[in-house]
Amino acid sequence: MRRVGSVLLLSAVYALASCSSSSSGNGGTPTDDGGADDGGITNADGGAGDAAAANPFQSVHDELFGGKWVTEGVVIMRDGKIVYEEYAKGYTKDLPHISYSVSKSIGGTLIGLAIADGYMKLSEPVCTYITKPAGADPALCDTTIEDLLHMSSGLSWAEDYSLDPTTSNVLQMLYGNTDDMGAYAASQPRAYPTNTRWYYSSGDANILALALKGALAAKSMDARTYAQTKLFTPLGITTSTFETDHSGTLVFSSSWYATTRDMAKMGQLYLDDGMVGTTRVLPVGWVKYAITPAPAASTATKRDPMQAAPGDTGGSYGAQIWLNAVSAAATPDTIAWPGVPNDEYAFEGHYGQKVFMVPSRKLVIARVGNDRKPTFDPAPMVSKAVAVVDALIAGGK
Amino acid sequence: MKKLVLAFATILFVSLLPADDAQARRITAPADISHILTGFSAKETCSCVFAVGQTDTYCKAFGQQAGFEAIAITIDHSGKKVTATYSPPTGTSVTRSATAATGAGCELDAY
Repeated sequence: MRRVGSVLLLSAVYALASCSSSSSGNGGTPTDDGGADDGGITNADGGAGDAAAANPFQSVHDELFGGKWVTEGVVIMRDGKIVYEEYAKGYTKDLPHISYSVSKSIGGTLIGLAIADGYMKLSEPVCTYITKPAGADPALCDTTIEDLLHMSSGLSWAEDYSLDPTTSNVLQMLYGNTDDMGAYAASQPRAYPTNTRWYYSSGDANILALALKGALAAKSMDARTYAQTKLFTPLGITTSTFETDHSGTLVFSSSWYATTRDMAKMGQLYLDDGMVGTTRVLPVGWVKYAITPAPAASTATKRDPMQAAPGDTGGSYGAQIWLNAVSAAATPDTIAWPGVPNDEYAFEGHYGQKVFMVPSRKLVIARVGNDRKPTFDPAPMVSKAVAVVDALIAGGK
Repeated sequence: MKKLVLAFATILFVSLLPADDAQARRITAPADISHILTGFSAKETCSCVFAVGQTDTYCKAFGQQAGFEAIAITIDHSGKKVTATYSPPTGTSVTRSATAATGAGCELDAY
């Protein structure tokens, strides 16, 4: 599977380079996190010396802050507790970070909540919830909410940021003169019958946002308030921001801002099957559904290292969530991230924003950064963290 | 011939639909490279400052694309607005802005 969502903004056209300062975690600002308010926090000092030597996640630190990548924050949670946390470039545990397409997974989660509340149905045509834009393909309404969750709308879309910006739909949608991003995406012509072809589309995500807005409006509710009340508050997330477009629709594709800890909390919610402590936040069965491969992305695909960066092929996709493998039995040459357990799944965003869940290790890794060129390869980070946890388990910890 | 003139006039009329007809604007006038680039700089810098809370220096760098440092970025904290202007060596300069609202982050302004 070609993971077009990972390509860098305008990369081929404008030859991007990192625009951050040169220092990374090793030489940059160590974590200011002296508090242990979440419990179990290991204060992994950004510098060398005794503190770093005592850090069981030193190998992860070296990978992320050793100068290869522009890492700005990382939180690792094991069994619900923070076991490693570090920041750089002025970021702290309290400062939100852009998440880019991690937002899609948050948006998908909101759709799950709206379905559980009876405001939407997976099988319902999208036109139940949105006004069909003028000029839209006559077959737009064939597309269901589930097709959109699965990135299988079949609507024409160019997500590739390396194309001419004037023909890239995602750039026109985000940075052009588009007042209503969902309507823009919904007005694209149909390229394939719905639910027959998987294609990563920020347009599909923003059509979902528009549909949620419509479904909630019918109940006199606002999507931002709904998100805070139904999802963020139960998780203790109080400082995140979900931006809207000019039409007041949440930008599911890319505009959720949250602290690295809060991103990790979202991952932990999935790892805990939608529970926060003894409180159920996500509906029963939602997590299983969301990490089940979409029909159009359910066939194992052999990775092709000649055509993509590491992690850019193979794997699968669920409901707005990346999957490392189509199944537990998938062969290594068909998974997205080599060396990472098959059961791993992820929320992923541009410039290296990642939230990885590894159920078999009860592990959540939230990593934020500003990697433009080269593209951040998360596989070594995850495999090293898994190795640390495996060693801890072997040691009886 | 009369039909041809009528058809041309219809096309002309449709292309001149009012600016508040967003759908028509999207279809008939896709943004060019300069508008996309300055739009990126304005929006991303604005969100960086007002949704994230990073420093102006960090955010101005974040809002730049390598090779296009000629885009000048101005941050107006009191007005919660970021303006990006691209002045090419020749031709007309392009200015885009993004505005922040409390608790809502930024929106790229229409042009």
